[in-house]
Amino acid sequence: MKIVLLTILLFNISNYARGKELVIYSSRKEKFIRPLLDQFQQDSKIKVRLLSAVPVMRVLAEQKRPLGNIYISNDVSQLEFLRIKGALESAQVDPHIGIPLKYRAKDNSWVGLSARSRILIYNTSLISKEEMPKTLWELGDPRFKKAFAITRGSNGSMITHIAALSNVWGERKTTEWLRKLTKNAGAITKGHTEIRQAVGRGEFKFGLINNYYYHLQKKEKKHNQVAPLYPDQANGMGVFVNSAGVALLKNPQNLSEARTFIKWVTKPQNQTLFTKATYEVPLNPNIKSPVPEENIKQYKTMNISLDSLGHQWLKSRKIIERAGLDLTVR
Amino acid sequence: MTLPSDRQTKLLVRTFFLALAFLLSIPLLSIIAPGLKGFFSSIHILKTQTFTLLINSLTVTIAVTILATVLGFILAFLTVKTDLPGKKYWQIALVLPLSVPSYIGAIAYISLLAPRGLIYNWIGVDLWNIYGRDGVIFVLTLSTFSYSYLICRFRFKELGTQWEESALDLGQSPFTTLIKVMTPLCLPALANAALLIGLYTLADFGSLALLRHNTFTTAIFYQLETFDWQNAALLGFILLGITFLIVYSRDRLLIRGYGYRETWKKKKQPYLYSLGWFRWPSFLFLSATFCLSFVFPVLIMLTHFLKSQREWILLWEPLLNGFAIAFLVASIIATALPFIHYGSKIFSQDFSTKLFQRITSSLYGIPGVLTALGVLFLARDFSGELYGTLAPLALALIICFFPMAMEASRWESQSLSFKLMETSYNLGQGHLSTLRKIFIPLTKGGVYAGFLFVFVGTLKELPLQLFLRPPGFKTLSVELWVNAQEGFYDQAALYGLSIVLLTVTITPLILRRG
Repeated sequence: MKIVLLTILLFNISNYARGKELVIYSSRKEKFIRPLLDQFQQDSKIKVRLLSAVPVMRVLAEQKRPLGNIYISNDVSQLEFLRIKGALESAQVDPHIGIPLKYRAKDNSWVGLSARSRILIYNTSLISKEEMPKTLWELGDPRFKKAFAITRGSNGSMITHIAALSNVWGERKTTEWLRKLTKNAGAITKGHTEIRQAVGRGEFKFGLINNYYYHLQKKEKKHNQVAPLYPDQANGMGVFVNSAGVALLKNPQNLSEARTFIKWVTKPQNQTLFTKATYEVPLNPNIKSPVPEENIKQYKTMNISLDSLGHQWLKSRKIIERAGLDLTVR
Repeated sequence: MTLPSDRQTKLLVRTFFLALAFLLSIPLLSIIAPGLKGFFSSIHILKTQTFTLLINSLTVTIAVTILATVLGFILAFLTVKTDLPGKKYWQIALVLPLSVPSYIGAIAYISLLAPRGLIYNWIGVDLWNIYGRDGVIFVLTLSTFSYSYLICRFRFKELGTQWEESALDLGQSPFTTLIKVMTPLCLPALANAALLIGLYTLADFGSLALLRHNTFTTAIFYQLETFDWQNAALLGFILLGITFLIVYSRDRLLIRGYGYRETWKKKKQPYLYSLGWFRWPSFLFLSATFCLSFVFPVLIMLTHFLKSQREWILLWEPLLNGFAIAFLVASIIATALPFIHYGSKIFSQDFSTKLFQRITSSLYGIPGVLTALGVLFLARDFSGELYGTLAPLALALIICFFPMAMEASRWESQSLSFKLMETSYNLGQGHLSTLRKIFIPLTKGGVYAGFLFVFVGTLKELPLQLFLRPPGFKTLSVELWVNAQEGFYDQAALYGLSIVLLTVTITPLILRRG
């Protein structure tokens, strides 16, 4: 028994020593990324080792001696933060990949692949579409007091969203909105999963989420009486589109393999593969969306270049702090 | 006292303890510098947040500590020292709640008691809103009382019958005997249990975040997610101060002199109190506690498990890895424990052992995520080829769980009579053979308890594994957390139940030995 255990341990330890393979860090779930990586291994004959659920702080802490070659992220702020901190390397990307420039870093150190729009999810048995707020500004309205849930102000997607808003509204207006929002919200949760569950259950009429969470709730066997609402359409500023994407980490090991991966994954057919498992809308308008009712061409998006958000992002943390939304969960 | 303590031994012991103290304080060192800097630059957070966070952390910690410690004590008493029906099974059953991570408990109770949860579906009204402070206290008490139970259980088993027999012979009623004689005899064990539970609560993250309550630890996590290392270190620094205060006051307040035990009558059965008409109410109470803390969360996992399609293929690797790393870490710690306790006992007045004790206890309250970053920095800069292997993770887990194992096993060596060891020296035995023949056999109960805590703790542990797993290394706790926090309860249940099953298998094996 002891010998068996020891062998397992030794095997494990030797097995996880650093190797020649391409190491992919990902903040998405393994299940969603596996099919893509299997296809890549088949196409390129490059061996891949995956580590999912990697915190950005880990990537940053390893910067001096990186273990990963590629970072796949669910939020553009993470990619931008790594770029500003000098943890990324620029890649050569074919200009004809079909992804609008506003969803890519200028130096191609990261490329957004799928849209994560900031939308409202509502419980159709508690509120009708007509009663719902049509713009985000209305969330500060006393009419909706305690009717909705938001995430804490230290959630990555939330900060990115606030950074984008303060780009459009300016800092003063954004701070005012945040103050009202904090007072008005019925709950401030850790993440978006709690919001979709609470709205589905009927604890709140609606909540502010990434569109992907709407699809997850819709797929649940219970509590799925929910619908999406894209705010600020028609004459408004448009919905904010955050993106999930890939970045090339600065790491001399396996650099050429890593570049091959970026080139490969940005090809249109592989973009499809990237978005398929997660019900995300491709940023490339010419690719068929896995969610038939949602193509990026069908709604008005905010006109903002994501790689301008990095510096704004750092400033936004201060705005959030001033509004008292930074560490609160209630 | 005739102690063979030549200068050479003393030097050896000192070096050993100082080196160990240094090793364990690595994570501490990494937050001191940025933490101090933070005092001067992060005034905003100090002004606006610290007081609320302090109150929140302290109320939850104090309440959970008292409730869980007392609950564990009562349960240990009922299962060891009374004629309760089904004692044999309860002894194992009450350890099992340890295998349910507190955030799984939180998820289960949220589905039941959140506004418009299951209760609302059944009876049409919301009975109690689980969110907030009271819910946190409820969930954490249920997931930590087993620490106190296990420690008190070992203590009760060790106390023979002579205490009760003398008291009863002198005309005391069984109840007075229990309050006036037995409770004081258990105080050292209770104090250790309280510390263990208090520090666990102070450092817990998952359940607090899900139950929408803020403490220092959740604040540190949130700061790190916004990449604010300095503010996180600052809060960690304050948290470290609180922990140190708790440990220090424990050492001060602990009533000394109750540590006696009769080591030479070990084989005797403990004295049994007759519960009388109280037998069945006690049985009900035990069942209720067991159901609330273990059966209900496991049932919730089982419902998810049964009604869905599971991906078994994704189970084996994390299962094997999770088991291997937990076993490795627990074995290393359990092997080191007797040496450390022996050294601490023989040289209890030396500055090196005192320093070591203080450092280990205060470290336990530091959130794992700070330990993780500390070890990561160290491994990156100094570990050569070991960087990127399992070694940094194993080291971090050892650092993280060492204090817990120390607390779980310390009271045994503390209450061991010095006379026994003296006799051994007088008979010409050296340190090593005294350790082997006297010390280890008489203190192994605590070491087994330590092994169990570390093993189960590692299975559930999250932040260290998130930050320090080598690429490709999947573990149960990480997979559980990733799936659970996205709301993929079907797949999460597979991992959660695996942790429970591993614990269920290993607990009787350990308890039988201890």
